Amino acid sequence: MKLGKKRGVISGEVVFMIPKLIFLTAVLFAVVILVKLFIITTTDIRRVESDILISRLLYSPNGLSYFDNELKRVYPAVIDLNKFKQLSAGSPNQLDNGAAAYGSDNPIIAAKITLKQEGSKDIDVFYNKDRFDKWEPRTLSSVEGGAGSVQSFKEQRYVLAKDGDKLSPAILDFNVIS
Amino acid sequence: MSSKKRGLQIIFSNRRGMTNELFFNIFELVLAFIVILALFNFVNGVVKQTIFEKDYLARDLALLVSTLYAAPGQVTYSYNENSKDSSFVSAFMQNKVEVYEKGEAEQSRISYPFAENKNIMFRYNSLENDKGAVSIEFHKSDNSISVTK
Repeated sequence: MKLGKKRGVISGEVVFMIPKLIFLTAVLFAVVILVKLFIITTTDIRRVESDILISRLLYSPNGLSYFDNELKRVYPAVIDLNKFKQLSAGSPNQLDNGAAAYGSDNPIIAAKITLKQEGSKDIDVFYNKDRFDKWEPRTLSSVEGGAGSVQSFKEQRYVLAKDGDKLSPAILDFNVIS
Repeated sequence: MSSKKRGLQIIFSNRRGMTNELFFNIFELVLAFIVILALFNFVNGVVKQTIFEKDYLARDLALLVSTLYAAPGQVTYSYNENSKDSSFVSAFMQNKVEVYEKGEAEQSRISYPFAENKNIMFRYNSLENDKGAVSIEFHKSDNSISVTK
């Protein structure tokens, strides 16, 4: 009879210890997770990469800007309208192999460049179109694997569109996904 | 007052209960100690590793090459970075920079891609740096980019 009572006391204590143990385990897990969170293993350079790509497309002789063959000079804020239309109408991978070529596969960056002119239809040019089409939905939080897996950077530049000798104001919209 | 008396009575009369509680407390302490020890070991391991440094260097060098391509005209840039106790090798290859320690296995090497420009030739090179510093000279002319120590 006495022994049974003692057993009851022991098992009762064990039952009381269970929440304590669960709490201790939770605290230890929290400490481990916190420490792991504070250890940075990678550096996010997507914003810089996006800025550099825009600069390369604007400053390179084989980019979007007008290039004077005689002077061998690029006019960074002047967009060659004929070249832009050719890039838009031709192969969508034309730009990938010119000013910024990552080789056969580019898992780093993609972009959509839109030239907006008053009274004219918008003209789109793509950089790494295949990836852009795949990544664009993933910039939305409502899509599975979206918001965070890839990031979209938008930039707007006021430029001049050169059509022959005529210069007209335009806006160049960059939507870079990295 | 009466409850205090009863509490004392329980402690002195129920020795088995106290032993169990003590055992559980010791078990908790041992568990916490093991986890903290494992955590310290993990953090120590991360500190000793050079993965972060290699990754940082590879990304930084790839960004620098991309920036040089974006810059019009001629550029000479001297890149200097503290590498603490490690001596890194920076290998500039087609469309990528690979950073690793001397004699390191291929699987442990860290690389990062950069975009080339067909009009500007990149002279690929592998540079071995001494312990403590990474020092690379970049030269960009109108039609080529070269890297030297």
